[in-house]
Amino acid sequence: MNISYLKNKYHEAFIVDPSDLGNPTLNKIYKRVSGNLKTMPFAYLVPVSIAIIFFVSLLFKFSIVRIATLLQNGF
Amino acid sequence: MASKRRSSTFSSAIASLLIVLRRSILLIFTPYKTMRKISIETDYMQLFWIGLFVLLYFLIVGIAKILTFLVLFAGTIAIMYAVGRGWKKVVKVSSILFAFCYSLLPTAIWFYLSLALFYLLPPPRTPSLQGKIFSVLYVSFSLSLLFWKLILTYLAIRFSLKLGFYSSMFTLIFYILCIITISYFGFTLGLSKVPFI
Repeated sequence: MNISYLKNKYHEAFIVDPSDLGNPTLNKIYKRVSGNLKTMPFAYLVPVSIAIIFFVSLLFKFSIVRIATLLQNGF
Repeated sequence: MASKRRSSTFSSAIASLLIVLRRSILLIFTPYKTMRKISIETDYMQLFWIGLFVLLYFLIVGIAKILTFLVLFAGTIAIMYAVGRGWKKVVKVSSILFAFCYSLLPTAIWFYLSLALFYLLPPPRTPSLQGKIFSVLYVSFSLSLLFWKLILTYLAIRFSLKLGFYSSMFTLIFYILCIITISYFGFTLGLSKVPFI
């Protein structure tokens, strides 16, 4: 591994400044959430989506079948 | 010799077009007589003109969709450039273009999937067990792709405009509101139901 490769990697990593939310607790939460989403986000997104669909359909009593039909006709 | 043949083909094509136009009008006034004549027709060039007329409709419908997408995408780039300048950042158009081009991936996957499912399992869905399972899977997958799209759009804004968290989120919300407004007009004009962006 040569020094120019490392330099490039360093510049790439710091293309933007690290996010600062202005509060240590918020920063901690942000780092934890964004850290999980940086690699393989679908491991979190799919279960979260299923849970949202399940709870929202229970809460608002609307038919998931109707939404699927609407979406299928919407492309 | 070749140019003479070309000009005669051209004039016969024009003659066929004129016949098609004349017969189209005659089919309104004297359908019986005209159809009787048409049934003994041997000029295949007339079929070409009618085929072209029909094909033109599909081309126009396709072009309208392509134009809607191009307007939305060009609008996205313009909005991001203006926002970047608004935040007083040094903005590279190529950076916005690449980042937002790659963020079209979830949209394209959703549209291809919906297209395939439209023919494999055509709507409407039924409230049977299989229908419900499919609906939950399809809507969940669509929602996952939407979340992925939002993440990619946020990252595209953050990296191409080099903004912090709050500025990126503010820009993302502003962008979503713009897309919703444009899409509403697209929907009312019948151009697209779900915007391809």
